[in-house]
Amino acid sequence: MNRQSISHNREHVIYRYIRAVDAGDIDEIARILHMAETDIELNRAILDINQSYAEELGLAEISQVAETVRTLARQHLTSAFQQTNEDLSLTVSEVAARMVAERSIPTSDQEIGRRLMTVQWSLPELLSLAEIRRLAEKLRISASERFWKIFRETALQMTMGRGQAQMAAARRKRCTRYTGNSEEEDHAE
Amino acid sequence: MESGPGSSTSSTDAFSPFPNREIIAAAIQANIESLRVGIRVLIARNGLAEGIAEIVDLSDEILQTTVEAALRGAATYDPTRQAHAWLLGIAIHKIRDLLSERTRERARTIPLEQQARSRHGPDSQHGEDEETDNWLDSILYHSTARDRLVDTDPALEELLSLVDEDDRQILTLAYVDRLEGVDMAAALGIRAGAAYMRLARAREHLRQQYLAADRTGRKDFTR
Repeated sequence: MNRQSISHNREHVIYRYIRAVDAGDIDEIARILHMAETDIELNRAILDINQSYAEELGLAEISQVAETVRTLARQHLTSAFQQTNEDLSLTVSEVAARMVAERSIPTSDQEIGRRLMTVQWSLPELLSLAEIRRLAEKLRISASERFWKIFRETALQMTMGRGQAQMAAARRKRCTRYTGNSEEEDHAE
Repeated sequence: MESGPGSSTSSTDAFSPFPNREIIAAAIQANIESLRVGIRVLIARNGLAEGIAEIVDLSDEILQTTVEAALRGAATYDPTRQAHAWLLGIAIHKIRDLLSERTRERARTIPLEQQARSRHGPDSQHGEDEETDNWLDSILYHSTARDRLVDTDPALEELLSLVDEDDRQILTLAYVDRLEGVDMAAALGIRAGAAYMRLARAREHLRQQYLAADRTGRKDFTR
């Protein structure tokens, strides 16, 4: 089946999904979701379509309002969100598990991602690329540069989700340590 | 399981099967917002709740039972599958159970003929006319591109005349200009999901108008 045929078929399934949602046809929706489990493009389309439905129904604002409330609460009620460093520290396995779940691991590094899911080491406090590379050396894991960049980005996102306080501290440290244009130049003087 | 610096990368035996529960937990965390949105949409479109507060409350209940079911099913989870679709699939089953329960409750209080009318959600479509769809596709997907100078699609033009300007616009973008998903959305200045919805509804309007025209014998699109 050529790419055009695949695209055409997927388009049809997308329309079936929308018709099913409009009609309240639960069985058809279930069938299409099952298809989407093995079709990344269909899955993405359904994600976006559901978001559009939410906007159409006035449900999207709820999530945005809730996020605003959470942000304001975090800013003005910081004691409710403060945790010890131990509580906030991420482990290699947690980051790897998120990368597996989000399917963001480059194809050539899939096995490495799975192996890292069993490593319970805490991540360094400063999540610079250089620190991540040092971690890789200690782990004796050889993965692509792209893998470690995605690993770092994922770790940063997860850290932000756990507490803004830790992020603020990390930012302060990066500002005092960076001396040049390159990320490599973060050695202490 | 590796425990500290200096430990060698172990043999394959040391890397035991996927810790599925951990993968699912991460998958749930990564997809929680889109799952929440999807559940709210499906509850609203199936008429299971009225008013935003009720939709949110019921959605949160379904979300909770979905997450519980997903974690219980950790042993059978296939991490190569799209987590969002898998999770929403679990939620759909919960919603179906709820619909069945409501139907049984209604059966105890509402006469049968009224149940038949109210069984489907809004904009209900009683059965799909596959033959009509296939015929429409044969016109839509084999149209001449608009930038060609020769107008050889009287059938397509006549078909598009059955619908209003908004529907014609998106049908033209999709089947004459051959734009897909993101490109179609960019041309309209809307998100891809909204573009797909608009196109799907335009196709449905076209299908209904065609069937209406066909029944009255007013149109012959084969010329």
